[in-house]
Amino acid sequence: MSSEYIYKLVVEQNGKQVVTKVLTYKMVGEITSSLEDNEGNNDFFEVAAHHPASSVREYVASKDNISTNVMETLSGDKSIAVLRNLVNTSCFRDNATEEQIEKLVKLDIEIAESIANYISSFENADANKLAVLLSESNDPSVLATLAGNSDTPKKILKVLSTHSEPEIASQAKNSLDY
Amino acid sequence: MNAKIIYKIVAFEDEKEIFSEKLTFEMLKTIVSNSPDSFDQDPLYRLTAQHPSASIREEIAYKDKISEEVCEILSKDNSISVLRNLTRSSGFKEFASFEILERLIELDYECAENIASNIESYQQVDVSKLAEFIFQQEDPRVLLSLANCYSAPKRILKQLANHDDYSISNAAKETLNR
Repeated sequence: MSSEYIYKLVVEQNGKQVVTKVLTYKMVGEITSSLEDNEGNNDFFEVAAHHPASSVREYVASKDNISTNVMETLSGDKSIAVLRNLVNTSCFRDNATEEQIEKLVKLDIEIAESIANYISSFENADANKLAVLLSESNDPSVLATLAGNSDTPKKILKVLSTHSEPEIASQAKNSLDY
Repeated sequence: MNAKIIYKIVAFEDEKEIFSEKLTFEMLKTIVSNSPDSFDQDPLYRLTAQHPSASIREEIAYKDKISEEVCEILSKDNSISVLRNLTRSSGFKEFASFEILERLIELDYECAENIASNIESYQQVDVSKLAEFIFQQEDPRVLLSLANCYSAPKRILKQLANHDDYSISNAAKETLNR
C-alpha cells in the first residue's frame, strides 16, 4: 500500500499552535514552483517528489539543482510530463545512467527529442551509443533534432544527410558544415 | 511586546511528520492568495493581516469575506496598495465607519475613487453625508467617480452637472438622466 502524504500550514504564536490548515495540492504546487532552484531547498523537493499530484512533481522535475536522490525518484515516475521535464534538467544530464536514458528514449518521442538535443551533455553515457539508438527511431522529429545537433557524431550525420525526408537531410548537411 | 508568529509548512507521511520548515513570505503569500474567500479562514486571515509583508496583507485585503476585526486591522495599514484593495472589498463595505472612510478618502485618490463609485454599499454610513464629503474633494478623478455613481444624491449630482470640467458635468448629467 502506498503512503499517504499530507502537507499542512502550521502557524505558531509564541510557541503555541494557533492555526493548522491542510494545504491543497494546488497550493503545494504553487509553493514548489515559486521555490528557488537551489540546493538549500532540496529537503522540500525530496518530499514533494513523492506528492501524489503529478503537477507538483512536474514542478520539482523542472528544477536543475535537485539532488541525485530526487532525480532517482523522479526518473521512475509514471507521468510522462514529469519525465519530460526531468530530462531537461542539468541534474539529469550530470547523473543519469546510460540505462535510464535509453529507457526514456524508448518511452516517449518528446523525451527522445530532448535527449537528441543534448546528445553530448550526458556525463555517464556514450554519445556515440546514444546517437545510434536515436538514429534507429522512426519518428522524423527525433531524427531531425539529432540531425540538427552539431555534436552528433559525424558518422551518424553522414547517414542522416542522405535521408529521404528533406528536412532531416538538410539539417544533417547544415550540421556537417557547421 | 509583539507576539512572535511563525508560519511553517509541515509534511506528514502516514501521519508521521517528515518535514517541517519555516515559510518564506513569498510561500505564505502563495498560500493566502490561493486560500478560499471564506469566513472559515478568519483565524488565518486575522494573523496574516498583521504580517510584516505588505504583499501578504494585500492578498487578505483583496478578499470579500473578511471579518470586522480583519477590516479594522487593515484599515490602519501603512501600505496604500493594501488600502486600495480593501476599499474594493465587500467585507470592508459592510463594516467601515464614516471616520475610516473620511481618512482614506483624504489619504489617497484611488481609495477615494473606489469609495465614490460605490457610496451606497457602505452599510454603516449615511450616503448623503458620504457624498457631501466626497463632493468637497478637489481631485477631478474622484469627482468623476461620484458623478458616475447612480446612488449619489440628486442634489449633489445637480451641482456636479454644473462643474467647470465638462467630463465631470457630462457624466453627472448622464447619471441624472438615467
